Amino acid sequence: MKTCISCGMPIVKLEDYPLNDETKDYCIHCARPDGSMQSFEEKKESMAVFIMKTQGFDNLVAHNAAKELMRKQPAWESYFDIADK
Amino acid sequence: MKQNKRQIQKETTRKLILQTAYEVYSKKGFSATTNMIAKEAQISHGNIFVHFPTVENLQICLLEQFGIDINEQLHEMSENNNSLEDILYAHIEVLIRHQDFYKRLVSEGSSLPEQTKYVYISIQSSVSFHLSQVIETYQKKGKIKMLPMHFIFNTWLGLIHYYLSNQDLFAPDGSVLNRYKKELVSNFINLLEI
Repeated sequence: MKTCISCGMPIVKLEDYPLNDETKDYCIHCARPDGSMQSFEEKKESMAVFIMKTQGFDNLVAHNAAKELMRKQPAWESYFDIADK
Repeated sequence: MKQNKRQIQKETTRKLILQTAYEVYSKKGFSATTNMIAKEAQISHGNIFVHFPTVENLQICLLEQFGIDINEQLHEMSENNNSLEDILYAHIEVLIRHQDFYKRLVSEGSSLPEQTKYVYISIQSSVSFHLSQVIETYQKKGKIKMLPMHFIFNTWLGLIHYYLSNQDLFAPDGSVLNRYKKELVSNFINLLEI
């Protein structure tokens, strides 16, 4: 089973892939409408919005949480390597 | 070849420590010492720190692994399940598998390292993701009330956590979620239905 390199969600069904493209390593929720992967800032924003919408957290807490959740994902390793230096 | 064998042994010991820590923390809470974990795993105390430099590091690694397991199990169980009832049952069934550990996490979470807070959020995000997909579909079809998603999710979670925290009152034998799951799921849906 594949795991999304951007958010860590399991990718199981064909519909989980962007534009049903099974060659992609990221899921539909981390893709732009044209199928390309969202940027770091786009993903952080969409994840924070999702956390606020579904769990009702404070804006700043949600953005910090989104960033920390992304820290563990392979797609953003280099971003944090640079940011931490 | 020799190095590979050593690596395999190292990985096996690491897993043993994590599994034992999971069991010890489930039984004794997060104040349990690394001495207790070492004794239970039948390894030397110092061996734990070869794999995990600090207690905080051990707890963070354990929580991260727990988060991955929960997310995978939930995803698996909610696969192809489209009803609200199915998702709520899937959530409860995953929690039943990890009831003792999850209960400790809920009641003692504030005493854990700061980073574990994000693992906790990650676990709840996975649940809220599956739930929100079904809730939105039901709301579009006019089957349930148009309450905000976070309110529905937090109400559900609050209910589960209340029963877990007061296990001794609801089910002194310890099987609180198993005993009340039908009642919790059906009445929660009744509250939401139009």
